[in-house]
Amino acid sequence: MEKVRYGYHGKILRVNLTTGVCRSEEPGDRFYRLYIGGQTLALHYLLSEISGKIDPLGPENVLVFATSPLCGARFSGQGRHTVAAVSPLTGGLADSQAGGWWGAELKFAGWDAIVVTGMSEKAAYLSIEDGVAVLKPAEDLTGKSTGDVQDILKKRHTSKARVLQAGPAGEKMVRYACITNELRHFNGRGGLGAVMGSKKLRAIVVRGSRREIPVKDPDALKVISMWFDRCIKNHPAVSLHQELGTPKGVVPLSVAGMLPTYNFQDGSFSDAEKISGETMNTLLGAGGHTCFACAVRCKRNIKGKIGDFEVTDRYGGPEYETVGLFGSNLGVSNIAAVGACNERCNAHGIDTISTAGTLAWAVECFEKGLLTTEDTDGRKLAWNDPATYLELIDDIALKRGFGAVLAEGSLRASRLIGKGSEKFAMQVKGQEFASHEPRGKWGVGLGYAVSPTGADHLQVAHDPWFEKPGDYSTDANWVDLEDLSAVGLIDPVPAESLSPEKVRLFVYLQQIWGFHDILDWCIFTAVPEFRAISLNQMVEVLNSVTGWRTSLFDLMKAGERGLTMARVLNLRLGLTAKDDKLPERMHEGMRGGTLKGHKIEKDALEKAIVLYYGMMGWDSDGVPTPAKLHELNLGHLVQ
Amino acid sequence: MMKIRARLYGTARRFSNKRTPGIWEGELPERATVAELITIIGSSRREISAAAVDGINVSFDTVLDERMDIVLVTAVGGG
Repeated sequence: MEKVRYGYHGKILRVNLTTGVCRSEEPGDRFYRLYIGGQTLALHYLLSEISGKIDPLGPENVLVFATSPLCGARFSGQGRHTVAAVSPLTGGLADSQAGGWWGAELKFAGWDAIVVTGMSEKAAYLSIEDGVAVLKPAEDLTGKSTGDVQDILKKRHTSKARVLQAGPAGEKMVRYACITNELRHFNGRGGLGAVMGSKKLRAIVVRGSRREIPVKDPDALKVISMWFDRCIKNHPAVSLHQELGTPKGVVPLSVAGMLPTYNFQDGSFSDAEKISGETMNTLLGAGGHTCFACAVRCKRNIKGKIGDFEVTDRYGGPEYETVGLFGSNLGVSNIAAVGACNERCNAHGIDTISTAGTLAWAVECFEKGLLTTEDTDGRKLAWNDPATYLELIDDIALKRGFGAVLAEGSLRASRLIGKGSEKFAMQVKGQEFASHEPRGKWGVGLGYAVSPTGADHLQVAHDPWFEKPGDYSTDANWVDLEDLSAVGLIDPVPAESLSPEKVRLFVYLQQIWGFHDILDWCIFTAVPEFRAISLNQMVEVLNSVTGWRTSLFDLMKAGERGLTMARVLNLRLGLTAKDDKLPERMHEGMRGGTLKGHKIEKDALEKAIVLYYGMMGWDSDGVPTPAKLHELNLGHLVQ
Repeated sequence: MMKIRARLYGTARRFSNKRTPGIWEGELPERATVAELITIIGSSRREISAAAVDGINVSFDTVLDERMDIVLVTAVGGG
């Protein structure tokens, strides 16, 4: 008789593309209790099968699609999954979470994760119908847009199947090609679509006949879920999120001086209002849609035309990151043009953040005379020229002409161009900055620098939340330090500080963010700003689903374990403490905007990084100590 | 009294007049400050992270007048 498990199935699907063999692996309950899911489950496989430097686009890379025990539970924020591999953009860990519907469908098919190894000889896609997983030929899909491939596969299988895929840019191995599910949800960062492309795996189609995951205490889960959904309705930040989506932040960040503008030269944009969430609602009829079982409904639908630029509702509307980077950071003031760039990237399957960041590098280099029309196929590059950006998006995705240079990402492209152009590449470890200006929130700068995946705004909560004391009054329970007092964070810390107190705040927040990625729990329900549920209630949810007796302490340790496993992997892959740094621009005063002249002192950042290593139990070179590895139950990783 | 019009962003948007999302219009005493405006709309200095007048960031002690383009924002993240 099959053992009854709660939250997870105990089954991992192993797919060897070289041999074409799909098989089930059952790693046992201890595995799930230790690694839980998401990021750390994926890291376990990467660390088990990768012992040193590899070619991220070679057959030796390991590509993991992982869910958590909570994925598929009927509770807001539980529709996410992780994809991880070695990144073709950074050479280190690529680890990216996506919302949508695919992760829950994988659970309904009876699988917790998929581990893909090897390389297919011919283009293939993976079909999963409950326990049956089969590789099928995909040559007829090659070169087709993500939208066309989704239509074909849904027609071929069932309209109810969920389709995850790399796009044509993934097939071409653009180093920042992404993975999309249902055309609107993205494992966006790190070039995971290129890894799929290198393995000639175009898509994974999933359909599961179970429509629930096994839950240990459904009554307890239902009580918290109903409370949570009621709380969301009266929650100011979540209500705003529902109304405007993530682009709600454009104007506030511009006023605060932290809206990336003209390749991070300025922090305020004179046309911020024109690309705001408010304008998107008014002019493009933005409405919301959602992920599996989620009452937040933060996703955008937009449709319409402004001037010469038209956007359809096929691929969803742009998130804040895309608005900031295709908008103010390229000087674009037409929100329909931003939407069109977003749509074009999504049809090709390339990360909007890295695409726009690389374009901004190119425009600034052209402006400074480091690139000329001889380099750019005759095109003059300028700010606020979305028509040219749309052409270049196509060239990047198909690696045509100058597009092939840009397809390498800003760091590699700058090394190809030379002439000191690396100075204008806003990246860490080769991955472009997200749409957040570190010079106004130094914890984000520290996060960009030490992130295992390169510049990543999802390492921690952003500093401004923690500048004011916690408010324990009943009408302001939605922001701030109040909830973080559960882990001993009680003192406010200035945003522009890298004091020991800030580093401590950062370390604890990074662990909290880390266990969100392990649980694949959407941050838009639980973290400060959106704290409609407390950290301790998250533990209750996990225990209700799994029947475990875990605790907040245990989840903090899980977050720390994930960060340490990522560090060990990156060290094996050749990344060192020397890679934990910011581009020089961050140590120079901002050119304009509210925070004109603000900068991060290099010396202060370097000291903060060493202190961070110490607090993490890593030595001064950023290498986890044997004692820390043993303490985290990772003794097998001691060298 | 003077008539004041303020544009509200972030969670401050919930203090808009009902028929004009994102806008608060009302009367304030002569020489009222940004801080008094924040209180009158129903928010708090704790929630409002920055204020701008005519496109320039100002302190909460700034004295207002009717001709000013006033913006109040709250801290927000991205995503």
